[in-house]
Formats: sequence, C-alpha cells, structure tokens
Amino acid sequence: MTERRFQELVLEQKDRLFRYALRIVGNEAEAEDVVQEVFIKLWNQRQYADQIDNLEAWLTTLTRNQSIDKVRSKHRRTEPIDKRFDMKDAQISPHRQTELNETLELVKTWIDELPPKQKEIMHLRDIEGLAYKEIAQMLGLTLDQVKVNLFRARQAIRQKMQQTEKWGLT
Amino acid sequence: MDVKKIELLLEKYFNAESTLEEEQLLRQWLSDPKKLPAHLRTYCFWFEALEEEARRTTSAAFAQKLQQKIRQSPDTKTTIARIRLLWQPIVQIAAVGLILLLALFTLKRPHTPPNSSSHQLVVATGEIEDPELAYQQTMAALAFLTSQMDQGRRKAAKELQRVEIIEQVIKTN
Repeated sequence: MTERRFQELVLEQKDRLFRYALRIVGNEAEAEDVVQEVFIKLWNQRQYADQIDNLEAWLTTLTRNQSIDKVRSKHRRTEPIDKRFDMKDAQISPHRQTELNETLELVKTWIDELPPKQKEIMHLRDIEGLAYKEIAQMLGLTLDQVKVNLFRARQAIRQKMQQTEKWGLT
Repeated sequence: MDVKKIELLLEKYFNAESTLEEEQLLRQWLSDPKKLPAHLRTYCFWFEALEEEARRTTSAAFAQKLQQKIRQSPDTKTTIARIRLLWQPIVQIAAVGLILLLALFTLKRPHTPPNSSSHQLVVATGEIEDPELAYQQTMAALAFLTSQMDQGRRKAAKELQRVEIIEQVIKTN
C-alpha cells in the first residue's frame, strides 16, 4: 500500500470508523484515539494490506475490537448532553436547538439501551447505510441473524416511540 | 405525498424488510413534519436524529494528529531489521567462541592409536604423535565443528522466524 492510498483511505473511512467507535465507547476523544490506533496498525502492516480481501470490513472489525478493549479497560463516564449534541447551526433557533438536542439525546438513549449486537447492527444499517450482506460480513453473522437482530432493534425503538409522550406532542 | 405509501414503507422498515432505497425514500418523505398528518410526525424525529448522527465527524485536527503519530510510530520493517541486528552479533560471537573452544579441546586432545580410516573423533588419553592420526583427528574435529555451526545457524534462523511471527501477532492485535 502506497502512502497516497493510505491517505485516501484515511479520508474515506475516518468518520465512519469514528461514529462506529463512538457508538461503542461513548466518548468522542476516546473514539478518535481508537480510530487513530486502527490507522497506525494499518500503516505498520501496509506491506500486507494488499492481501486483505475487504479492507473496509477489516478496519471495521479492528475498530470494534479496539473499542471493546477501551471500554473494558476503563469505566465509562457519561458526557454531558450539551457536549454530545453541540450542533452550532446558525439557521436553527435556540428553541428549536434545545428541542433537537432533547430529541437526539432521547434517540441516543434508546439506541444505547439496545443489546450490543442489535445496537451495532442498527448503527451500521441506519446510520452508515450498509447493506444487510455487508453487515453480515463485517460482524461474521448470517444474513438471517442480521435481519432478526435489526427487526428486534427496530421493534424495540418503535415501542419506545409509542410509549414516549414526547413523540406524540412534538 | 401518498400517506398510504409512507405507512406501508414504515411497516416494512420496522419489520426490517425494507431495502436501502426504500429507507432513503422514507427519509425524504419524512423530512418535513409540517406536510405530514399528526400520526406520521412521530417518525420524523427518529429519521432526523439518525441523519444527525450520520453527520458526526472526527475533529479538524484528527488527520494532522494521525500524521504525527505515524511519524513517531516504529515501523514494522525497522523493528524486524533491529531484531536482526541484535541477533547477528550474538550468533557471530557464539560461533567464534565455539571455534575457539573446539580448537583448544582438539589441541589438548589425548593420544589414542588409530582404529579406523574413517574421520571419527577419537576420545583417548595422551598426545598424538602419529602425523596420519593427527590429520584424521583434525579432519574429524573440523567436521564436528561444521556440523555444530550448521545446527547453531539453523536454530538462530528458527528463533528469528519466531520473533517475526510474534512481532506480526503483536501488531495485528
């Protein structure tokens, strides 16, 4: 792998891997650390990179493992809401901003409350927009397992939507 | 906007039966809650939140920090070369030491009468006075020395290979 290809790959994949790591570690700084470690590993093994069949899947797996290690090695502390959803969009009014932050926080909580596998699959499908086949390949699951987990995750979310008064009032 | 179509797609979505294209369509249709009936507005915020999550990115300084870390990170090739550099003098010193030891051992070797024409190392007492026997003993000692050096070299190569494998495993994990 040339340095140029490596740099292109960093640009293509960094944000996707960051969001994935963030979903697991729950902290932006640590998620960035994870992605950094992943790319350093890739750089150190660049002479073998051409032998990897699916580099994206390989990077995702590595990010997942690194993130899990990070979570295991340190007890998580939840970040304040305003830092996690600090959307400085000038076109949004302060009232709408507060409303959006609340909604996002609620959605984030719902996703975080799902079992780990469902959470990961929902993230890869609904946030990263990956096909069922790609998710199955990345997580080492069958297509049916992916669909069943996604079905359960979405059903759980739907239930929460229906239970939450906020959704009916907004 | 066809409300029935949206409802149908929503059902497919929550049953995990929708395609990526259908999900994209759903996001578009549910992007403006003002145009939707009340019972569908509930879902707008879900898709809006997902969109917002998908927009999250690494900090602006990330790429620069990564570049710096990569420059500081020891390269695999360099590490292997460093291990080789460490092993080479050890093997060389060991080989020289072995030669010296064997030479000393051979010179101080006690004498025994020749018992065969083959180049076998004879262990006996006394000094060698017979030139033919001395020649045979020297040849046997050199053959022994060569075999020991070959063995040593093979062992060192095996160890080096092991170190490389461990290095690879460490890097992978």
